Amino acid sequence: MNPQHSEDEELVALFKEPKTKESAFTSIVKKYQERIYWQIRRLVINHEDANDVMQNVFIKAWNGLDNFRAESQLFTWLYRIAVNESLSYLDQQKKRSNISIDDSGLHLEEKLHSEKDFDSNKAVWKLQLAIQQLPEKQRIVFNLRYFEEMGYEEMSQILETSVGALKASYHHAVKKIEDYILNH
Amino acid sequence: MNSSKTILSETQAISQAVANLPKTNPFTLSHEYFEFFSINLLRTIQQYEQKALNTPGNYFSTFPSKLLEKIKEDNSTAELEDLSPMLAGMQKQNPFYVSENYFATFNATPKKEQAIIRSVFSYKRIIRYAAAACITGLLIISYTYNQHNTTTSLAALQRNSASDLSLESIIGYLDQVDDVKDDNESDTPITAENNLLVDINQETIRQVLQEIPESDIKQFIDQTGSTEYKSLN
Repeated sequence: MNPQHSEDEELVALFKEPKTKESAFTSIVKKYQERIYWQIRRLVINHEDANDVMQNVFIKAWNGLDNFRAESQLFTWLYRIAVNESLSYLDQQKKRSNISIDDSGLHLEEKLHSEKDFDSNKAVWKLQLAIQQLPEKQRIVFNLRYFEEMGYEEMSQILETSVGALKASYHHAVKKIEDYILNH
Repeated sequence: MNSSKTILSETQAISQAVANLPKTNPFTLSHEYFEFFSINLLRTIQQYEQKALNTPGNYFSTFPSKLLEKIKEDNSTAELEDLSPMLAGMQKQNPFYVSENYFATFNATPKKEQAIIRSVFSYKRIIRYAAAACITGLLIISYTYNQHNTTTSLAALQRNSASDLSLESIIGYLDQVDDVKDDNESDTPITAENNLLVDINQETIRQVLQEIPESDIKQFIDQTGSTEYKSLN
């Protein structure tokens, strides 16, 4: 068995004990917080938004860990919550600001512009601008594959999509980003 | 997690330009954020749990006794005693009667109301009319039959009297009648008492009238209004 998986199982078991609940939860948060945070941050861009989503994700984890079954990995489960929460957060923002689906890329682009040290001439920022032009699903797939270097099988569990569809999404995403960078 | 080399080669196969882009994270974040995130998160969760679905510490342990107290407060007997001691003192007997097995046999399911089917042809009415027609017919037939019989019998009698009776039988019958008449006349002798055809002369009348009181005769004349009164005395 994967040592990381067994460690997670142990933490979940400790979480289910009232005495060790908080310490086990702290360990889980510390273990996955950075990876979860950056996944969220790349989707919502803004730190304040990312922090809100982070808190929502881990509050959901706190409420749901008692019923968590070891069928999936803890990390995969947390990632799925993070992706869903990020998308819900963005949807709420769009509704609040009356932003149409077509303009959602522009909204995220504006957020990038307001980031500290933003420089559209720098390749790293240009890449981020290109990512915000992608459709939602391709954006998530590209972030998970390109930055997180996640395998398609794991990604398939998180996004509940077939490996073939994920490969196609990544292919389209890379092509669109290339097109954007070459033309901007 | 897939190896970086595999992903890089995959990306290179799709786009060399994208594969060559730096993977540097352009976003900034304070170093302390992750250090204190779990502590802040637990504090937030505690606040969240206090706000949401929080019950006082002894809520469930004291719930039954509090509920009983509330039920006691809503005591109708005590309320009635306060309002009217007389009514409270009266016996609460039910004067209404219900059969013993009413509730045992009570069926709460409503009966299905069947629509009343009214026949276009009322057999009862037809039977009544038929009976009336029969009776009327019988009366007419019987009346007609009786009339016919009476007419027939009279005609037959006339026919019989003319045909069946011979002259000899009629003469015989008349002789018999004469004989009977003769017999009666010979048995009883005619006297002044039984013979009504007695001759009454003036003297007899005078004698009869003398036997009647004059006052009676006068009263009779007054009543009859006769003006021709002569004293026969």
